Amino acid sequence: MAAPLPRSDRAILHSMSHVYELRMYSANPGKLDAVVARFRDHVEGILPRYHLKSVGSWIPQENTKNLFIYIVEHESREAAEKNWAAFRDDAEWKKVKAASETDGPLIGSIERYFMDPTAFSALK
Amino acid sequence: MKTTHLLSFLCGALAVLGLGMIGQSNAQSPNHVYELRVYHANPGKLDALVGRFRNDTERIFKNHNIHAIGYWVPEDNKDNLLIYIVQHDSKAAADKNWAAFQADPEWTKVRTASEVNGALNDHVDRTFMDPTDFSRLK
Repeated sequence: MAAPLPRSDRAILHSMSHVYELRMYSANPGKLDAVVARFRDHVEGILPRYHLKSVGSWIPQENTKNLFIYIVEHESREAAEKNWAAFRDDAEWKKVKAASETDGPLIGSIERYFMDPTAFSALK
Repeated sequence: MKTTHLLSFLCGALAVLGLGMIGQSNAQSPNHVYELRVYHANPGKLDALVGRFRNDTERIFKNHNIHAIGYWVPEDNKDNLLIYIVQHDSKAAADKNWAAFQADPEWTKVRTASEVNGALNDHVDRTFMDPTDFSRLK
């Protein structure tokens, strides 16, 4: 009979299950500040309701593509799809999105990567 | 009169205390510069590229204060990518540390040995990024 795993190994096994999602938003011309403000003032507050864990968000220093970049940590790929669907259906998000886009959409295109951490990654 | 003086003293004291705390919190969490690196592995070379990071590159990075916060492989990886993010103290520190890494004889040896059958990766997309004021990673 195998001995029970030490606590640290169990923690590693548990955390190995995370899936990370890199999201790169290309803001429409003149809209980057509005994208960042909408995220700061509203989206950051709505994401946790649906277990969407924002790990970090950044603006490139040389931002020729007008990008806003962030990473979300998920329990699994299935959880990600379920949680994003619930987010899109959130009443506050719908209201905020409509109010912020009276002069047109803020985002032109989104590049997404679902990613698995490598065995030696600090973020698991 | 006395009450007014006391109140203005208290307001002033609170203002100074408040400003001091703002200064302190900024001092404790200076913003880093983050570097997103996307490696386009050559066909059939992704496993070797990841293996080189696991066995050698990550260790040599540490000798040059190159602090990788995460390494990932996309799930739908049609472009054969390895993605990682490095946290730097500043852009100047990044340039200095990368130069030292590139010049490290151990890295040169590892790289040469790993590429006897050809380079493991094609181009690398690098993006230096500043965290937003609400980013968890600062």
